Formats: sequence, structure tokens, C-alpha cells
Amino acid sequence: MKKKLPDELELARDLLDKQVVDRDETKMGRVDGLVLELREGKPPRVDHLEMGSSVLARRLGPRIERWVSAFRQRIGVQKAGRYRVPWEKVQEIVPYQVKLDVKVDETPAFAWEHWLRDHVIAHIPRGLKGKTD
Amino acid sequence: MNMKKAATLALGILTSVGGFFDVGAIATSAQAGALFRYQLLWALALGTILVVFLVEMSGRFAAVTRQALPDAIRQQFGFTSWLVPFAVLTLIHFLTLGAEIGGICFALHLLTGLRVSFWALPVAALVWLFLWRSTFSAIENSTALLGLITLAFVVAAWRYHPPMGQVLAGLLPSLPHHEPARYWYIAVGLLGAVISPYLFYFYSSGAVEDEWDESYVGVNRGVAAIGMGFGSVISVGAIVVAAVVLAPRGIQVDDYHQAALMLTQVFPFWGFALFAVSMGIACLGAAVELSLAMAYTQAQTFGWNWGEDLDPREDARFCLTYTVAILAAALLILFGVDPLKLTLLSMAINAAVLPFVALPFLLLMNDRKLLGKHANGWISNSVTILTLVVAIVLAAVSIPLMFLGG
Amino acid sequence: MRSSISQGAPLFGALALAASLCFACASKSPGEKLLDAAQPAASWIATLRMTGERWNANSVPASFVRATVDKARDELAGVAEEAKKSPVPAEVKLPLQRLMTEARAAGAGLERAVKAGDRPAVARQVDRLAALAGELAAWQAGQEGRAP
Repeated sequence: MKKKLPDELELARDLLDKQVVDRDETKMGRVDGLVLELREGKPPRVDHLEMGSSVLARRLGPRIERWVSAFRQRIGVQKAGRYRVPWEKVQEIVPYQVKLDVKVDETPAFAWEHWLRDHVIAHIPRGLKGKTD
Repeated sequence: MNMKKAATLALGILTSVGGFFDVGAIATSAQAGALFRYQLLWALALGTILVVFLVEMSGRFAAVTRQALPDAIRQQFGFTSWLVPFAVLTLIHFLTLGAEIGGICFALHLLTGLRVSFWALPVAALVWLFLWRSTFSAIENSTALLGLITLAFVVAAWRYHPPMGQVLAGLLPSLPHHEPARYWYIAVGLLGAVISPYLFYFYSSGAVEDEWDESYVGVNRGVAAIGMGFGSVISVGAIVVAAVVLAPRGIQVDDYHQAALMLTQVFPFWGFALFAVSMGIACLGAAVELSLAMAYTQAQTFGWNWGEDLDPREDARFCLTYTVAILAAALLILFGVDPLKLTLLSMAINAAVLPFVALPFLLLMNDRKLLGKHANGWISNSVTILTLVVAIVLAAVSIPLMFLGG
Repeated sequence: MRSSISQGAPLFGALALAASLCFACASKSPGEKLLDAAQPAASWIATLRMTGERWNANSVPASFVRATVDKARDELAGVAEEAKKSPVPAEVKLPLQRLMTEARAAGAGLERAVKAGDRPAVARQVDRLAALAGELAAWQAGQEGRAP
């Protein structure tokens, strides 16, 4: 699929903390972190994006990251609080979101959503809402 | 203006009424009228002007950028900078939601005679069910239409023919003749009740739910001004009624039972029920808005899928958030926290945290890259700076005053 | 990206204000404090009066009278407690305590009368409360004259 990326990117302003969506424009999360690859004699480059509670916790401090990790171990649906998105998967960057060339159901981003859907929502009666026109 | 926009205008106005006149407005208006008659009308007027501008800005922002505030603030300022406003916003959502649920429970207590705490869980279930099953526009329309019952206060005030000289004099700030600590405490509470952060944060998410775009900027001005103004008129009605009915008898509003007497004189048969139903519906609308506001803020901060029009299977974490919020807030009432005290506490904290949650918003409104020609002009910015000054003053005095005047 | 604004300034301001206000209120005399405590008592007596009147006019249900009387009696008992603990001279606080006891009794009488559907009895309790309100107002006036 053809990629739509700007020529120049300010990482902090245009990438970090941006809404991330999948191929179908379903919201997946936000860009919680960026990992750069450092190369000898060459400028660093963006290796991958990171999403997840551990990533976010680390931005607040190493101790907070430890608490969050301990909390996750207790009740976590997935073992790692970190989802790595290789740069190749980034398809489009626009002012309000980053689009990835993935389907959210195939990524760890929806682990909690799936768990809640299967274990909680499935047991609660409801009609179908759907969009109103 | 085409039909759809006209409908938005009408319904948007009605929605503002449900959101503006909530348990905080009822409590502080009744107290203000009972203790100081018309003297505190200036606080209501000042708060109304500021909130009209804030709501207009919020709607304009959402219409132009197609983003709600929490979403945009995290994106523009980063998670670390958003963390403190986010935490305080969550706190005031929770406390105010508790107060609104308390208001609904009290209304049901008036109508049935059953204890307030008895109603906590049934009311929580009702609010939850409303959110679980309804779409956003269904919620908007129903609470807005039902909210019209609060006009009872305006009708009552009009029938009393209050002395217009005193009413107008009250619109100008004046110093109290007695109990200064209490006067300023109620003034702060009134301002906190009117300039509720949840209102303009929620409004932006609501605009996104209603799929506003740049063409709605004009309509938004009307909705903000007339909607908030309308809600304000109802609060004026409440202050006037309290001034005419309670003040001469020396009845202060230290408890909601005293406020419940307000309409029983001018409407001898229906007055009691009218007060209860008005309070119940206003608080129900506000409770629904607050639970949604909590869910919007959490979901947008962490990038989850969100939207009242989505089936819960598609935004499970969003639904979990409002479920937990409603339950936790209801527990406050279940365990016997006094509804009026909770209301006054949440109003004081609303006032205290206003600078933290208003500042990022105000910075955004001047971002020309985001808003282009729709960024704040000098009028909006002047009001903005005034709001920030008022917010900081409120923040500095509200907590100490709570200990002195409460 | 901006970092969070410093919270030092408003916090300091709040603490300074709190300190000065606490100092101001700490310098209230016991007589003034008792006067402050009597304010809500007058308000609750007035509330009971209006509640009785309104029930007689068929404007409020009996359950409301019951709830309001319960709340009022609790609050009046609280004021009586404060009076009991206050260091003011006995001739100042005893009248207040007596008034609170009588007001609570009037409230209880009101509730009984409403339960029995006895309108004349309700009217009598309302009058009694009016008299008590007058006595309380006289007490307050006397106290205000006493305190500078």
C-alpha cells in the first residue's frame, strides 16, 4: 500500500503521543514511546514505535515503571506492557493520527478489549446499538 | 442554515440547560438566595460570561480540529505535562458525579420517603443502563427535553415579582453586610458550580460525537451563548425564589430538606413534586454527562476506542470506565456521605483546580497551526486571561474558605 | 513541549491566607463562637415552622415532615451540646440549652401531630415554634449586645 509520510518529521511534535489507528481506522492506542537506533558515524534513526502502559510508566520514572510492572504481573492479560511497532508498519502520518498497516485484532494492543469482550460483555444482555443516522 | 444545523442549535441549547443547572447550581443558588438574597447575583453573572466563552472555545476547537480536548492536549503537550491536569480532572469528575448521584437519590427520597442511601445502587443502575443502551443523540435529546421542567424556578421567580431594583443591584459586586467568610465561600462555590471544568471538556467530546465540522463554528456560538445563558436564567430563578421564600424566614440551606421547601408556597399543590422532579432530572442529566466525561477523558488519554454510538463490544474499556466511575461514585452515597456536603466539597475543588485544567486548553486556543483563522482573537483572549486570573484567585482561597465558611 | 506550571505560587498563597484566616477566627471569643453556633439553630426552628405550615396547607407529604424533623432535632441537639461544652457563664448558656430542648420537643410534637393527621395540633406546634423563635432571637440580640 502506498505510504503517505511527510518529508520531515519532528519526533516530539508530530509523532510522540499521537493517536494510533489501524488499517480500518480503529483506534489502537497512542505512540507512548519511540526507540532510535544509534549507528556509528551516522545519524540515529527511528527503529520502532512503542505502545503500552510500561512505556508510559517509564516516562514518569523508573520507580513508577517498576510498580506498573508489578501490577501487571498480578492481573495482566499479557505479560509485556510493551508493544513494539516496526517503522515499516507506519503507513500514514497526518496532523491528528498515525495509521499503521496492521489489523488491531492481530496486535497485542487490544488484549484488554478482547478479554473484556469475551469474559464480561458476552455475559451482559444488550441490544445492538450501531450508529444512528 | 440548513435543517440539521437548526436542529443542532435547538437541541444543543436544551443540552446546555441540563448540564449547566445541576446539583451544584441548585445548592449554591439556594444558599446564596437564602443568606444574601440578591447580593451574589454578580458571581452568577460573572461565571456565566466566563463559561459562555469557555464553552464556545471548546466547541470551536472541536469543530475545527475534529478532536476533543483530552485527545488534543495529550497530543500537543505530551503525557507528562497532561498528567497533573488529567489526574485532577479525574478527581473532580468522580466527586461531582458522586454529588449528582446524591442529588438524584435525594429527589427520590423526597418523592418516596425512602432513605437517600437506599437509592444509591438503584440510581447507579439506572444511570448505567441509560449509558449502556442509548446512543449519544438519544441521551442529548431526552435529558434536554426533560430538563425543561427546571423552568419551574423561573416561573416561580416571575410570579413573586421580586424588587427589580435590588435584583439589578445584586448584579454588581458588593461587600457583605454580615458573615463575610460565608459570603465569599458561597461566591466561590457559585463560580465553581458554574465554571465547571467538566462542562467545557465534555462539550468538546460531544461535538466530536455529533460530528461537527468547521461549518458548525457559527452555530456553536449560538449554542454556547443561548444555552449557557438559559441555564443561568434558571439559576437566577432559584436565587430569587430562595431570596423571597427562605431569607425572610431566616431559613439557611444547610441541608437539602430546607431547599425542598422553596416551591411549596407559590405552587401549593405541585411545588414539592416540582422541586423534586427538577432536581432529579437536572442531576440525572449531569450524572450521565459526568460519567461520559470521565470515560472520554480516560479513553482519549490512552488512545482507546471510544464513542456512545459504538456497540460496547467495540469500546469495552470505554464502557468499563464509566461503569467503574458510576459504581465508585454511588458508593459514596451508599456509605452515607451527606449529599449537600459532597456537593459543596466538589464545588470548592472544582474552583481550586480550574487553573490546572484551563491552562492547557487556553494555550491550545491560541495555536494557529491547529486552528488557523479560528484561533482566539483579542476578545476571547482577554476573557481567557480574566478566567485564568479568576481561576487562580479561586484556587488560592477556596480550600481555606472551605474550612472557615463551611 | 511545556512542562507543568509550578504549583508553588498558588499553594503558598493558599497557606498564607489560611494561616491569617485561622488566626482571625481563633481570636473569636467563646461568646461569639456560641452565637455562630446558634445561627443554624434559628434556621432549623424556622424550617420546622414552615414545614408544619406547609403540611397544614397540603403542600408537603408526611414523610417529608418526618425526615425534616429528624434532621432538625439532630442539629438542635448538636447546638445544645456545643452550648454545654462552652466556657461561657451558665446564665448565658442555660437559656440556649433550654431553648434547644423545647424546640426539639416541639419538633417531636409536630411529627406526632402529622402522623395523627391532627391539623389543629400541628397549628399549635407551629405557634409554639414561632414563640421559641422569638425567644431565640431575643437571646441572640442579648448576646450580640454583650460581645463587642
